[in-house]
Amino acid sequence: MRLLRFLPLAPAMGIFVCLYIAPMLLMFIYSFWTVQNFRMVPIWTLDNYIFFLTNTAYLRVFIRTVITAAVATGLALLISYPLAYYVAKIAKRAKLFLIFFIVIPFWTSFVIRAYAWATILGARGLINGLLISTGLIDEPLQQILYSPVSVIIGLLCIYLPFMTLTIYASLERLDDRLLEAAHDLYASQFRTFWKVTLPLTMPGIVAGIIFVFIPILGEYVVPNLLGGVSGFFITNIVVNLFGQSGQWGQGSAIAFVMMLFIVATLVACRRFINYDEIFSR
Amino acid sequence: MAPSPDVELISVVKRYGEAIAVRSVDLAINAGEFFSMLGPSGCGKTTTLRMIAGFVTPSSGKILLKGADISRHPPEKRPVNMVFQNYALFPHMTVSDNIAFGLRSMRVSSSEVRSRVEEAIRTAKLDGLGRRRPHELSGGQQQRVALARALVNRPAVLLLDEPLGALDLRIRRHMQLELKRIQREVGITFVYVTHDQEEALALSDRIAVMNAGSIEQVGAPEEIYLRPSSIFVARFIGEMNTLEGTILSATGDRVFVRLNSGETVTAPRSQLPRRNAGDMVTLAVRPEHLSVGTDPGNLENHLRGKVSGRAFQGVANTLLVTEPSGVEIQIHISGSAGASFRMGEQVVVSWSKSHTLLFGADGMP
Amino acid sequence: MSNRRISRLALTVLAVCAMIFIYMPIAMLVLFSFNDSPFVAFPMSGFTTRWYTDLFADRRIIGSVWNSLFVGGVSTAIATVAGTCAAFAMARVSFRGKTLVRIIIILPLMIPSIMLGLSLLSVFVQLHIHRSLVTVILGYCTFTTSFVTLVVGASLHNLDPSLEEAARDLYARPTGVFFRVTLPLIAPGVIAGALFAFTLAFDEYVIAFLNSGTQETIPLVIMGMMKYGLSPKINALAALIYAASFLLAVVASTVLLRRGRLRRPAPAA
Repeated sequence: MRLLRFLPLAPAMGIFVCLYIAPMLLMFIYSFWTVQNFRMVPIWTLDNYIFFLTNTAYLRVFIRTVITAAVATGLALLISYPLAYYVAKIAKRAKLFLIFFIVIPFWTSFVIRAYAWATILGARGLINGLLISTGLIDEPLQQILYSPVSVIIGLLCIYLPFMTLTIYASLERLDDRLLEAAHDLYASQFRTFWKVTLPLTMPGIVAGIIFVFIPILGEYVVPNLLGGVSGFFITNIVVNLFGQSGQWGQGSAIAFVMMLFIVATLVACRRFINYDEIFSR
Repeated sequence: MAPSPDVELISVVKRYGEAIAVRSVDLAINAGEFFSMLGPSGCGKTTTLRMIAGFVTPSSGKILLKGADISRHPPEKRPVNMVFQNYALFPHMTVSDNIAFGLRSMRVSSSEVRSRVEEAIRTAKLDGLGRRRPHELSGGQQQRVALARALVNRPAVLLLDEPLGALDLRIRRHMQLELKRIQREVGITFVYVTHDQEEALALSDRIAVMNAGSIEQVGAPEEIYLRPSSIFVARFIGEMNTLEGTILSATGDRVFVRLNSGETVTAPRSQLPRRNAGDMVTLAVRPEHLSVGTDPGNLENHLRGKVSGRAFQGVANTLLVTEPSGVEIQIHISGSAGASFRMGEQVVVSWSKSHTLLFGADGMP
Repeated sequence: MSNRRISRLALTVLAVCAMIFIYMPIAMLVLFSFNDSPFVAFPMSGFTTRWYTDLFADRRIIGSVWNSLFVGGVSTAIATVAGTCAAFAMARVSFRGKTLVRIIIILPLMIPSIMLGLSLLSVFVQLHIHRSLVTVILGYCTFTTSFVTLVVGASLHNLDPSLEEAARDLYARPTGVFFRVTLPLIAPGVIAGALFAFTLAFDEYVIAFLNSGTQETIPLVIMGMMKYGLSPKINALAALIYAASFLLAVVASTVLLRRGRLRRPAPAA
């Protein structure tokens, strides 16, 4: 029978429906319910959403999250592009080798790497140690760690390889002969880059931005470890609401507002990227 | 009296949405024949081949194999094998395993598999290469593996989809002779697709010339070459000179045509049985049937013109002569004769009435 | 110095700095795993390997390693089977609504882990399902399957379709085509996808944090220790994990590179 041809798709779809689609629907429903005695009860209300959208403290954290994510993404782009360019176009022979080295940290624990940054940036960490021993400062700087700056550094460390890989893939597809043609037509290095390389790698850049910005919005570990009191994200708030306060309704509402923001970002980027192309690493 | 054909296509049509790839093709391919389908890219020859193989289902019409209707059979159920254009050798298998693949699919006993594969390797002159992988072989060797892989199954019909396209000229020529020899030895019907008309002329018992989804002419190589049934076939096969003109009169066994350049030439009446005085025609003559000189000589048809070019080609040379209305005519002459002509020289091009081909305004006789 | 050389030099310097930045935490960790002091601070004291020996004696940490391997292994196994089949269906079967399915497949990789984790938690609590390693495995199945589907999908996309046609021409039935031709040729992709999915699952913190019971995985232990008591044993653990990942990556790439050469269709003469 004709339905048999869907059989290979069934296990995956079963997993997806049961383990994320249905649960997310449940959470969506929770965002409209009320909490009584630490339980969700089906009293429909918009209070959860209203509470979040009128709470200035929460909103400030939300905005801080978005800004931090944007800054981290921008910095990642600024660092990744030259790095990817170097590997793709300049260090041609060692290419595979270098990619290997860029990707390896990506394959290893990011919790551990975030922890490592805590030690580097801490009061008795590497940075302060260097600064004190060279006499530049007398007292360790307390502000590096547990601030948006340390969060950005931690995020960069984790997401750089990812962005680099995406841009590298895009650069690899760029035919060298196009660059040769540009030089043959008297274009300088800069002009070649600006008029040929950059526009042609734009899809890769946009893909990189999407694949970094959006996950960063949902990051929990790095702001938790390195953010301290002034650098944490909206995600940390959501988890706390689900934790001791038992405010699942509010937590769900905030989570879905965040989701909406993410979906809006994805839709806005549609004119820059062909989503069908995402099916190649 | 004639044995029933091996492969028959009856009114086969293939449509892709609005576009028609194959328009009502009727073909009868005889057993043991080397049959080619020839035509430019996009003419439908590969689609037709793939319909015989079973990879494409006809939109309408029937395909018969030795009388049995296989139109709806999937490829794995047809006793037909194909040599693919890019060989499609399994890169993860050795040469022996590639060749054995079809036999193993049919659950042939392993001892028989071994002996038949060994025989195939010997026949295809691949001795000693059985353990190699496709990427370790040269193009010519890969081609022979693809052929052996198909032939070892002793199919009723072998389909070949431009198998020599990727090879260098010298190897291609050599493989053409090999293919012809193998086909004669093995006696299997070959259905061969190519866009190279020299190849088709050299190898085939019969050729089907296709254009834009239809068959223009089916016949033996000589017949297609000397008696093309349409202007398309005339131009596609070999080199052909064409001149436009109008019929002056058609009497007895001759037709008189006045060319646009002003000259009057004559052709056999059999060339244009259905046309009359006043009809527009296209006249065609092969370059090797033309002679060039300073005076008309004793051939019936003449043209005057100026020498406008010369191309040295080793065996024969091509002389280009431009006649008054601007048409450039190609003439094949031997090396020594060609050297004596100077650029711009006034010459007379002449040819025999019997070598004149005529086609009506629609390209047909 | 010419224009071109300046840019080359600048890029090289930038590249080196970027690499240092990426590797600095790793270097730090390994460095301090040999430091003879319970504090991860400068200046360094003497050299010791006692943290490594202490590590192997720490039941909690060793237990978490087994748990991580278990959780990663099972979810990867499930993901590999489900993902490969799904990729095959997407690449070879035609049906309407493929775009919707594609979105469903890719969403788990775009949705933040906290949403995946919290929504699952809601379900488990609502259904009174006891949280344990099994619930963590369930939480991992989604994004691991997505990942494998994408990677195998790319592999299938690159597969020369005439190879499968040739197999059918040589009398192989659909299952025969899949097991004798398709699967061996996409095997590098399947393996790569599985390895990648495993590393993602091995290192995942958020979903595990929200959906685990008493049994801990490695990231949970590390985060727990970070809040309450940093010990260079973590550094030792990290260094070992790095070494293992590195080795695994080396093995994986040599396997892939060697098999990769076979995947290219027969080159023309």
